[in-house]
Parts: sequence; structure tokens; C-alpha cells
Amino acid sequence: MYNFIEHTSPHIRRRRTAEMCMWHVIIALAPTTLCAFYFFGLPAFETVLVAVCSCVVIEWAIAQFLMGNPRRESLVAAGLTGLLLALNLPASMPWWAIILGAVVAIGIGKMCFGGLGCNIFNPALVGRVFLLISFPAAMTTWMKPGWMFEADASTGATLLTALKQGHVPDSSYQYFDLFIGNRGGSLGEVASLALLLGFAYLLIVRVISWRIPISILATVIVFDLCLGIQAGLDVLSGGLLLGAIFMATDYVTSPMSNRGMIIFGICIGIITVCIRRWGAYPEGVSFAILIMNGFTPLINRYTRPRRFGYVKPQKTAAA
Amino acid sequence: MKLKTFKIGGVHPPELKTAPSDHIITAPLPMEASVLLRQHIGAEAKPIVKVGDQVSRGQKIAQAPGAISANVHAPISGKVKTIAPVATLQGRPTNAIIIVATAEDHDADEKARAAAPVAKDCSNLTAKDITDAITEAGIVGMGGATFPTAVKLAPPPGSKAEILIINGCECEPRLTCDAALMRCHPDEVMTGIDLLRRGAQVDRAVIGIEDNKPNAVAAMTAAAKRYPGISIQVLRTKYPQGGEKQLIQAITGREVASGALPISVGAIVQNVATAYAAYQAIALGQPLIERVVTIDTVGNFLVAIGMKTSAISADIPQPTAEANPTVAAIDVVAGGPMMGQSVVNIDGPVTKGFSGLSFVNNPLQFEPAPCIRCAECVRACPMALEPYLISTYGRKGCPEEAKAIGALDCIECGSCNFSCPSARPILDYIRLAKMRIRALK
Repeated sequence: MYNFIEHTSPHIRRRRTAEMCMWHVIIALAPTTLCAFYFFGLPAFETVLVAVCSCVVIEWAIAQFLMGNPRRESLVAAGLTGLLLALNLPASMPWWAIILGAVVAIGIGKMCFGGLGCNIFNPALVGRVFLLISFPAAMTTWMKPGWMFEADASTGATLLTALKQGHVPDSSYQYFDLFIGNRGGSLGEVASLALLLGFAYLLIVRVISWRIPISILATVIVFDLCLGIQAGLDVLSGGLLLGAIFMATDYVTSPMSNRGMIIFGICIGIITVCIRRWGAYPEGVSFAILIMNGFTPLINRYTRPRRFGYVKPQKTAAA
Repeated sequence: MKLKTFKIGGVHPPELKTAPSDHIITAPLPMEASVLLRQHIGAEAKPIVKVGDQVSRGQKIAQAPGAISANVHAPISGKVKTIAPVATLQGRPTNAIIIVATAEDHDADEKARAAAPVAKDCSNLTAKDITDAITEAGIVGMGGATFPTAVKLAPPPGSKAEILIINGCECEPRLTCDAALMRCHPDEVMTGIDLLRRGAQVDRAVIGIEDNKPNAVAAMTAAAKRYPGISIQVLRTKYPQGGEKQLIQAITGREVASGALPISVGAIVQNVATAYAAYQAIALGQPLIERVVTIDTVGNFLVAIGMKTSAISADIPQPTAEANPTVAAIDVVAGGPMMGQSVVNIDGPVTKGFSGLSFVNNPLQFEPAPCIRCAECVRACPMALEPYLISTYGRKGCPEEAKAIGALDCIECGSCNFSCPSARPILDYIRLAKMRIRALK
């Protein structure tokens, strides 16, 4: 004997849940996070801890007291936002600024729009850009990696800042160092290899498609080659990989059709290079992604998939 | 060689085709049969027998009142007890003729059923002879759509059929009844396909079978050797391959336009079970009074139409009288788990379009989460629609907007719902959108 249950078709469901997708992204970020701990030490750990905890607490508080029931997957999403925010910050960021950034990221970037799935802009980037504009000095003071070997956590300009100021890259910037992360920068942007590992993981578990990251990177490379700049430096330095792989591919704020994703990626690539070359900031990925987040509904509207068997309506002769 | 399949979307639900397809168990004839007057798309058949009449097995007991309807025949010999509504598997009352057999009737029927069938030579039949026999036998599409077969075989004026496509995909998880027919009766199915081909007056017939049924492919390939016009096309397994438009695209590469019928690209699609029924009707003179059904995890059964579904096998779960928290919950589905409907009344009668029972042991009980715009539904949709958007329009009550983005093209295959990581009832809201669009007119 059984209790019969009624259900509309389909009666089965794929096992993957939204929460599992988020955990996959967190797993994919693990190598990058561990690299950050390795290169920047305890300050990096503190930054991640403060950012993740404050994002989750703020999400929970807003959901609990202002919006009704907090949902598990929203809290996981908030934790992921916190992790991404931390990876976009320098290790020397003061703790109160991180909390402020988390309030802006979750409160303004996400919950004001209605919570999970409703936001227009990537919350972590909203938080980061808020901090960048509000605390430009703190946000561009990079700890030098290698704390274990050198006692002083001195600061140094990143490669992109140096380029901006007209310095030709010298031999102190080696591709190999860029690749493994032995350089100054925000927590998550230094270790290119770890980011690529995460990219491979996300592709293997099919959480993201290749379209957005590859179209961003390809556009940057092509554009750089046209301008006669060393494309490799542009790709490996700064936050391009982190942005292309983990920020631009955020489901909620990126286009839904395959064509839309490519257009989105190409535009991000172009805007990034433009800001880096001709803009006021040495770094442009965050702005490029946020700008294109705003265009996402429009891209969705104009890149609808061609429906199966769609026939263009015949234009009736004007009467 | 790269296997063919349809181009857009599709999903891979766990197949779980555990009901063995290497043999078909003949279920005993019932002592009482409830034959529904509407087991097909279209008008209800009109009874031509009265209460108290003695009917014999295979006798026509209800006549189709028009073209889009189907005759109904007595699945057992016996006396007409009543003509009254009975509850279907879904619990909906539907008019039915209820026949009760005596022990003598039953023994005579079983004896006649066990006798080796003598197949007539069908080689000189004309197309009209074939379609007339199919109409008379009350044959409808047995894949589940239950559209009268003869109507499909006769193309509307101004169109010409070029190819007959036989659907042997059985892309629904858990069901194996079509595979069982192809493995156990390949020659009969092939004769039926040849009859359908001649009835439709086309030269070429292609049988599409998914590559997860190698035994059925082997049996049918061997049987097809005798028929030069009939070939087998092995297809790469993907749901919903058996969708009419998907199958036509997979086999011919042609795309049926939105709102158009398959005949617009010269194709007619029929199911293998329909072909087998055509063989039985024309070569054996037996109308559609039996069919093969899958009982999930148990096996395939040849059952009389009109018999109680619960009587097919002792392994069919029985419901508790009222909700009992101490026993397990089960979702018993008439058909496959992707497109079937939940069974409410397990005692409901077997109908022409009933392909079997699926037992879903872990019914979906989790709460829908917010849409995270991951576009899984967009990628899964075999009609290249935007399910999330149609679903939103359905929920918010915007029929014009839903219609403009093709809501009526939805084939309700459930791929969007299946793949949604937020467990949203996408298809329910799409159905709502379609209802609201139809209410516009």
C-alpha cells in the first residue's frame, strides 16, 4: 500500500539545484582563494572571512526582517557574493570598509531589486566599485606577495598602473610570475593559473558555457593586437581573468541566449581595453561588466533564439 | 558515422528502462470490461448495442459519428451490463459500455485467443481497402496522441505525402512497450508498416529507433530486408526524439513550420504500436481490442482494452484508502514520467492510448526557488522557445505577450521543467499561458 501522489508532468527532475550550481562556483574559486591565502597570508584570510560573513549576515537580516523568509540558496548566493567581493579587494583593506562594501553589495546591489534572481547588476561588483570610488587610496594599495619571505608588507603599483603612468614593463614583470600569481594585486586576480583551473572545472561540471569568458578574452587579445600592445600582459595582469570567468558569467546578470552571451562578451572586452587605454582608471573590467549588465535585458530582447519552424509573418499588401 | 538526432535543445533524463522488453506476457482476459466511448481525440463514439445485448469479442459496439473519431469494439464476449460513466485513470467520469462475461464466454474467448493466428495475404489490397479497414478497426495513434490513424494517412487536398516515418524512438524514460513489440514481433510490425505505407500511398518508410535499443534495431533491421521501401534509421538517444516535429527533423532534416502539420513537409508519422495494430486489423481481422503496455520494473503485458489497470499485474502498487503517514508515497504515472499523467484511480480501464504505468518513487516535493536566469530551460527547449518568459507571462496573465513569443508552439515535453535547477513549475505556467491564449478567441 502506498500514498498516491498527484503531480503534473514532468514527474521527474534533474538532480542539480540552484544551490549546487553555487557550490560548484565556490569549489571553482577554491584554488584562487588558497593562492590568495598563500601569497598574502593572514590579511587575505581576514578579508575573505569578513566579506563572506558580513554578506551572509546582511542577506539573512534583510530577508528575515524586511522581506519574509530567508531561503537557503539565497544565503549560499550571498556567501558566494562575499567571496567574490573579497577576491576583488586588496588584502590590506580595513575590515570596516569591507563590511561597508558588503552592505552596498547585498543591500543595494541585490536586495533592493528584490533579492536572488532579480538584481540587474552583479552585486559583488557593485560593492567593489563602491569601495573603489569611495576609498581609492585603500583600494589601490597592493601588498606585495611573499609575506612569508619578506617581513615588510610594502606596497607597490600593479603592472597596469605602471603602464598607465607610461612605464614600459621591465624585467621585474615576468610572464611566469603573472601566471602563478607572484605579484601585487587584489586577492583573486593574482594567480592566473588558479583562475584557469577554476574555469576548467566550471566547464567540466557544465555550470557555465565557454561563450562569455572566451569572447571577452578573444576580444581583448584581438583589440590589443590591433593597438599594438602586448596582449598577454593585458590578459594575465589585473582582474581580467577573474572578471571574465567568475563575474561576467553570473547567471542572473548575463544574457540567456548563446548569441547574446557572445555579444555581451565582445562588448565587455572592448570596453575593458578602452578604459584601460584611454580611461582614468588603470583597471576597467569591473566597469565594463557593470555597464554590460545594464544592457543585458536589451541583449536578451534582441537575441531571441530563432524558434523551431518560425516563419516570418508575410507582409500583407497595403490596402 | 555520426548518428542523427534533432538539432535544438533536448535533455537526457535517466532512462531506467528496467521492464524487460525481450518477452511480452499475455495478461488473462478480464471477466468485466469497461470500454470507454472516447479513447481518442475527437467526438465520442455512439453506442450501437443496448443494455442486455450479447456481444462477441471483436464486435463493433460503438460507431464513430464523424471522421475525427473512432469505432470501439468489444474486447471480450459477454452481456452489456450498463452504458454509464466510469472513472478513468485520472478519475474523470467518461461514458463507457460495460461488458460482463460468463465463464463460458471467457473460456471460448481465451481458446480463440490462444489459437495460432492465420494471417491473410494482404498483397492485393488497394490504399482505400487499407484505410477503410483501419477506420473500421478503430485504430488511433497509439503513442499517446490517439489521433485517428486513417485521417492522418489521407493527406488533405493539395498536399502530397512523400515519406512515412515510423516512431520507434520511445524516448520516454521507463517505457519499453514499443521496444518489446519490435523485438518480439518484428515481422508483424514490419507488415503493418508496409500496410500503412501503402495506405498512405508513399514509396518510402523510415523507422526511427534510438540507439539505446540495440536489440530492437537488430530485430527490425533483419525484418526490413524483405521490404525494399522500408529502412531503419538509428538515432542518437535524446529526449524528446519521439516528438513529431523533432523526429521529422532528425530523419529528414526538414523543419515543420510553426502551426503547420507534418504533411506540409511531406511526412506522415505513425507509432510502431499503431503499425502493429494495423497488421492485426488487416491481416488477422482483429480490431483494436488489445495493446501492449509496460508496467514499470515488472514487464510488458498484452492486455485487453477496457480491463481494470490494477488487474494487469499483482506488482502494481495499491493506494491507501486515505492518506496514511506511515506508508511510502508514490507517484504512479499513466505513461512515462516526462509526459504522463498521475493516476488517481488505479482501477480505471485500459484505453487505446495507454502505454503503461511508471512508478516514480521519489515524488517531487521541494519548493520552487526564485528563477536565477541560468537559461537551462532555454537550452533544453526543443522548440527553441524561452520557457522562463512564457511561464512568467502565464503567471502574470499576459496572453498576448505569451502568444507573440510562440507559447502555442510548446509541445509540453517538460524538458524545461525537468532541467530547472530552481525546481520551478515552468510547464504548469506555460499551460496556463496557453489556456489564457485560447480564451482570447
